[in-house]
Amino acid sequence: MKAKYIVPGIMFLLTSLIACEDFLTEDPKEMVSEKSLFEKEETIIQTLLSSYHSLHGIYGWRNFSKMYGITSDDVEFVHQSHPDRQEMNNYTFNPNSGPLIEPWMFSWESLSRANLVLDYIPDSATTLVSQPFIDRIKAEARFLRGWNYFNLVRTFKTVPLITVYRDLPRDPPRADEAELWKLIISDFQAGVESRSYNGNEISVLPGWKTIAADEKGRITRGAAKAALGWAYMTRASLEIASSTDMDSALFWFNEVINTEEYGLWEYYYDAFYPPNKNQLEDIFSFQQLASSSQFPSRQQRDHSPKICDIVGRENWGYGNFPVTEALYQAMEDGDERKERILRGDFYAMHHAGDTGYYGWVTDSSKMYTTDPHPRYPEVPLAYTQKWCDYTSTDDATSESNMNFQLIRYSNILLLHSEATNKLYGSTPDAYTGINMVRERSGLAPLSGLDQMELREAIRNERWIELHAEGVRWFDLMRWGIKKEKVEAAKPYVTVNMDLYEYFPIPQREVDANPNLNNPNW
Amino acid sequence: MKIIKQSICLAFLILQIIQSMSAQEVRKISGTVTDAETGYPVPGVNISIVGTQHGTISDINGIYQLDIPGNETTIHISFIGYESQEIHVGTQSQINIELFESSELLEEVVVVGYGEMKKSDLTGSIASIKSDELNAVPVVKLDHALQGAAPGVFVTNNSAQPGGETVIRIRGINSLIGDNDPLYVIDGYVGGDINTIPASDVISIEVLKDASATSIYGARGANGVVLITTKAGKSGQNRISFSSYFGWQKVTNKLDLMDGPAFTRFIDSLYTARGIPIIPYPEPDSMESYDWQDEMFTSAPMQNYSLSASGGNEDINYYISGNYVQRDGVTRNSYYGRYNVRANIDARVKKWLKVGGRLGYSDADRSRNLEENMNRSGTGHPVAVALRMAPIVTPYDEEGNLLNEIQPVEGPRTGNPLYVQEYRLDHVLERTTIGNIYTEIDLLEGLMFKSSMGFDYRTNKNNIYKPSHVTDAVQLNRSYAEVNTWQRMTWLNENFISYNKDFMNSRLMALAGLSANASQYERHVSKAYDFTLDGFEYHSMQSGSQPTFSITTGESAYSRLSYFGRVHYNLREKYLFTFNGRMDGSSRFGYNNKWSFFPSGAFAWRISQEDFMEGSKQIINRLKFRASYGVSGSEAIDPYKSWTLMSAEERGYILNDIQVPCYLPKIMGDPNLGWEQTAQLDIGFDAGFLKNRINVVIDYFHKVTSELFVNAPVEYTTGFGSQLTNIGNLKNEGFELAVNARILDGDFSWNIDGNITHQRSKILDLGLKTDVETGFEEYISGGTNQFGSVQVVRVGEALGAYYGYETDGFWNDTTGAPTQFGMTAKPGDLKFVDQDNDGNISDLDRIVLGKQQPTWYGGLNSIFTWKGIELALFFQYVIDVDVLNATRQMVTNLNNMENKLAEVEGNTWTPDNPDALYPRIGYTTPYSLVDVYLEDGSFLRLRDLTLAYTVPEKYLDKINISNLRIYITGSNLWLLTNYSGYDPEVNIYRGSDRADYGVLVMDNGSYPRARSLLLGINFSF
Repeated sequence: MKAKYIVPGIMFLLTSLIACEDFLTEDPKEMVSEKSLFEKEETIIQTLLSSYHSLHGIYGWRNFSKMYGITSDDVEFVHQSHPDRQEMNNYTFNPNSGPLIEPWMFSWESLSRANLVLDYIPDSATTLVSQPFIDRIKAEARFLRGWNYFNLVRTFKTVPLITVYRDLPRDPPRADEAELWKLIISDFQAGVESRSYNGNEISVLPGWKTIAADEKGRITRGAAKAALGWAYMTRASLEIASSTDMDSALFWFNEVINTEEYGLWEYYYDAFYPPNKNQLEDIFSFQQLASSSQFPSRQQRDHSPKICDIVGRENWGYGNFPVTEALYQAMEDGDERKERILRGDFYAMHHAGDTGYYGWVTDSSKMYTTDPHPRYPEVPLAYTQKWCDYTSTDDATSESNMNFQLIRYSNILLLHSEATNKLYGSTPDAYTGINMVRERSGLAPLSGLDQMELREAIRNERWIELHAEGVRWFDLMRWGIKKEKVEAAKPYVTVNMDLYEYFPIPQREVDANPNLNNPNW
Repeated sequence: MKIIKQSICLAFLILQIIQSMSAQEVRKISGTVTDAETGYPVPGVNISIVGTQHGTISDINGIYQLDIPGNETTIHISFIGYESQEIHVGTQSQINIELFESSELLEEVVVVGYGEMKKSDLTGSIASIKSDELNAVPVVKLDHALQGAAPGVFVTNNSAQPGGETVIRIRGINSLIGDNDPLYVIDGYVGGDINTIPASDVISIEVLKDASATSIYGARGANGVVLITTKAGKSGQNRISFSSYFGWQKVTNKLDLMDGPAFTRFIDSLYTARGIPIIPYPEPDSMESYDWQDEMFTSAPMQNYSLSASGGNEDINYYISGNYVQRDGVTRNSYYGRYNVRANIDARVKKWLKVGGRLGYSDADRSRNLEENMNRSGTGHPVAVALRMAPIVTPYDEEGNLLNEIQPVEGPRTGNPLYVQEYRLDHVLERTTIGNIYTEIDLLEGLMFKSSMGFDYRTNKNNIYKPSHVTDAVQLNRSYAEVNTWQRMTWLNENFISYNKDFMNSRLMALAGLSANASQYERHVSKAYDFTLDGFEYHSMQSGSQPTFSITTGESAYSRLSYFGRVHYNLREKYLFTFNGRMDGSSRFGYNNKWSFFPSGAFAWRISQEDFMEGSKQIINRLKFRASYGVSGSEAIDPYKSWTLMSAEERGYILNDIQVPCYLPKIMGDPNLGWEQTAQLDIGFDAGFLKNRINVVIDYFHKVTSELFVNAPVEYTTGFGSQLTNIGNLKNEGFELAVNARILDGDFSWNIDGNITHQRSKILDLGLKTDVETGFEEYISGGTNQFGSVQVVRVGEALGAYYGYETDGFWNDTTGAPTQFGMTAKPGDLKFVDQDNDGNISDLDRIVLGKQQPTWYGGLNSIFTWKGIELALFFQYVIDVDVLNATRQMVTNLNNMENKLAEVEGNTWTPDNPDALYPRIGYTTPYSLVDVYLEDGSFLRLRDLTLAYTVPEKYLDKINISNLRIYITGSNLWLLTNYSGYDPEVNIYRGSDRADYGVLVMDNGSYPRARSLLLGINFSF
């Protein structure tokens, strides 16, 4: 009979015991805490890759073209659809405009993930993580953070300054512009340094020729030098510039050209030929792959004309972003980039020759697409075909294997010419870079120009050589001529462009963070 | 069928064993129970042997039969509304009983959380559905039986496909992104799945609605609680019951689409509209027609078999059953089949000790070729694809075989939807075991201890195989296999003490206990492409191409700990007080917020017990006022949402042209994440009139859910876009009315059960500066056309507000017209209303156009009986709800060469026909919500009509059968609605995560509801 009193006691006791041993503590097994990823080299790399991964939101899809391409004077958006793109193209955008979001959001995401790595990586070697490894990862993470800030400050002028991942400041205000640039320079600087390991002086980042095959796509020493030069060059154009910025820029361009063994491919199109990825002319790229789920290149699709009727490929091109009439007119006859990239009929050649061969013929009967320009019906549209990927076997999606190149060697050559001309005038050194670029595309070398003439020639050359690659908008800002150039290329832009110097911070962000505002909006 | 035979044999075997065990010397008594005043037989009277648990219930004719152990036996007779009696049996074998009406109502008992209560003692709002109501109409899944059965319980089919999901919402939707399903408690096991139990196993379902009833379940009670009690054996009633039905289903409500000639006339005029000087079909009238709907839909069988054995003696009772149900769909390869077995046992081991157990196993297999696949496989919803097929295109080759690809009139070749259905395999196996054992110990007079240990083990396996000869939009011509499995093991341990004591003129019931609960979930997904042989299907995935292999696994776990208690006090049978409280802890929340307390209080006043009501007893014989207020909660979110954690991303960054995995921060944790809290006020009256011939229950409820889970935007500088956090308030309020009336008594009787609910929701606060737009990511056509946002969550609006463009006829004269979506309007285009007058129609011009939650809904059950013949009509209705008929938008698109509704012909805009139904030929309606496609989804449906005959016992005695009922049921025989699609109810699609802000109502090529006719039989012996 006593059992009837004992049993309840035992049952209650048992259940109560369960309660004692942290019964409600969660132990997630499917996910891990940040800290646990920093014990082994492999997982540290995989964590760092998350920062690269975020770049797809800026350079993948068509976000970059929507933000910086059609707001510039090299490409435009002319279709009567997609009001968000029309707003950007016509300079009627406002802080609520959709295309502003991705570059902002993903820059911060990438940056925060770089901060995550910097916040957690061990300071000194452990049994599983070597010192050279730590130094390299740190340099890489700092490069990525610097690169994202470089984008943000060029786009929004000033933004919050965040260098931590844990104990994040909430609602941070805009930081001082000079402080931001100091961080960018020092972050890029970290990638060009060398350390002594066991008495050997070794650079923290590998060069493009020495990087391991399975690491192709990660930051190299050349990328850090090029970015550092470009950052000095950009800061030189600002009010907060230091007097030595242009010299520093030239120093680092010389470093890239003289010690990193980059070069130009024989033909312009070779620079966009997928098997040539991460080589010779490709200094820093956002990596893309047609067969990947998230990172196929859409440049081919967006920038190629709608020529499906001719080639039979269903989705060959969307014809979203034709080049401007002004760019087309600025090109000289005989320029490969005009004759072949803008006017060429690639497809005919591709199928006429061997399947592995690419090349082009000019066929004036097919030089333009069938689309007339909606605003000026007498003007046909010209499209750039540099991203057309003949190695792609995927007829259905027209997704391409090519990288989106963020720093191409010809960009650095032209920056070198520009810096040299700025500091020393039209000396022979100043012609080296621009003439290499011109000659590659079948144009005669320049000579005998005065400093101003050469400056104009370099600006023009950059426009043509780097068209649709998202460099133009930053160049125009750097030169302070965005307003006049955009107005010249897009006479239909009627708004007062003074307001549209830098981009406003997206309204969504201003709503979420009470310490941010857009003073002029 | 083989399996059915086997299971019948098995059941007989079990039965024989049990009977031989319990054999003892008994004899039979029988008789008729009548009302002493009227002389009418009284069915449902409880007759039990005093001192034992043996007993029986009088049948519909008042006749009972009882096995008794010897002569010195006394039987106890009791029935609601009558005085109970005790009769000494002696040697009599025929005892007729007359019942006298009681002044004291002896009421039925209803199940409540952790116990039972007399109905008259209830202070909360509880709807009770008994087994005879449940089994009056055959249902394939038990949740369907709740439809229209109780006020405040909204039940709608997501899909009419077999095994399709049913949505149950009790008193509205409380959570924006959390779970809104009610909590199911099966035989005391908290957290079961209603659809693993066949209706034939259920004795009663109680739906707990207000806080007084639900807050004993604390943190899980906010969405209402459904208590399901399965059958137990009755002492002295060893019997075998068998029931079965068999029937056919057929789609009767086809869409009226164009035939070949009409379609080709349309194509000709589209060419003209596009300015192409070609007439592609110069002789439309000679065109052949293929009716793709006829090809798509076939008639399909359904069947059900249940066999049970039950009974027992004073010490041991048992109930053992097996069930098989199968319903084929009206399209190819669409089916639902389920086996169930159950064993329930209760035993009194000692005078003070009772133990028992419930064990149920369910094994379901269903195809999922339809709705669920819309956005997954990219095949497009077969019904939607078939509707759009040009009627001049044949699905067959010359030899009558299905073609795998079809050349539409325009565009590239596509897969044949019939072929995809025929050869693409996709089915889900759902296996569930729920078991629960308990111990009850009588400690002292009135003091009882109960401990239970239960578990719920579920596995789910989804097998997919697409052979290479099947073309679809995503995998094209590659063969593809996927096996997607998960399993979940949950256990629950509960211990409580209850104390019941009658005092002089009051009664106290109290209980207190604790509960511990934990669950672990694991999943595994494997995928592979490019199989060397199609014959292996998904069974041998290693025969796929190795580089395409992909594996994902995952796991999660959660735990809960709770302390609960209840005090119920009945003062002089007039004043009733109930206080509930539950302290709940859950692992899911932030470390700062693991615990929460959920209290409730209720008061009821039995006005009819007061002396001053004595005079009106003849009219109002029962009247009770109830009021309750309390808080219950919802944890409603997945585990680990309060953490900032890294997860492995298989599709990471690209190095050297290889996509390598990486670790990504997934969510931004909130250490303060806590419960959603729903505070509910309920005021109600229960009344019985004219000797309970008319019973009425009225309730008003007002619920405010606060601390709503919202994915609130955070500044992107954190590296994250949003954070799950508790902000926002939402209100649901409404009235419920349920009426039961015995209109006619006697030989010919007529009984009506009806209910109606009126409810509204309103978002009081979102804690956000902007609205939340929700919509459909799903492909409308397996192609590229997508609907954007169609709903908005906005402060001041109802939850589930349709958000889109208002139109005002068509443009006739377009001078000064605003640009519409960046384009200049042409005459014959839809004329959109420029709400913000900025000269441009853009997404700023959207307004709230309608609501997806109905204002009124309910059911009406009318039963006529005459001498064993029963005619039951069950109506279900919904009033004032809007449905987005995307199917109509799809089949009235005037700028493609897909099939159209027949009504389009001659009804398109031309300068001579400016008041047409549809715009000009050549116009494309934007793929957004446009008001013309929003339709009133109100309906009245004769859901079931049943004609049954219960064979009188006098014929059955000779063949030793105690009960025999045969019936014929027709379902969906009649529908009254203005809705133009297949069915206004078959439309709810709850798909992607974005759709979680409430239920989204959209008819997008939905599976049509079939009409069915069933023939059934129930008997026991």
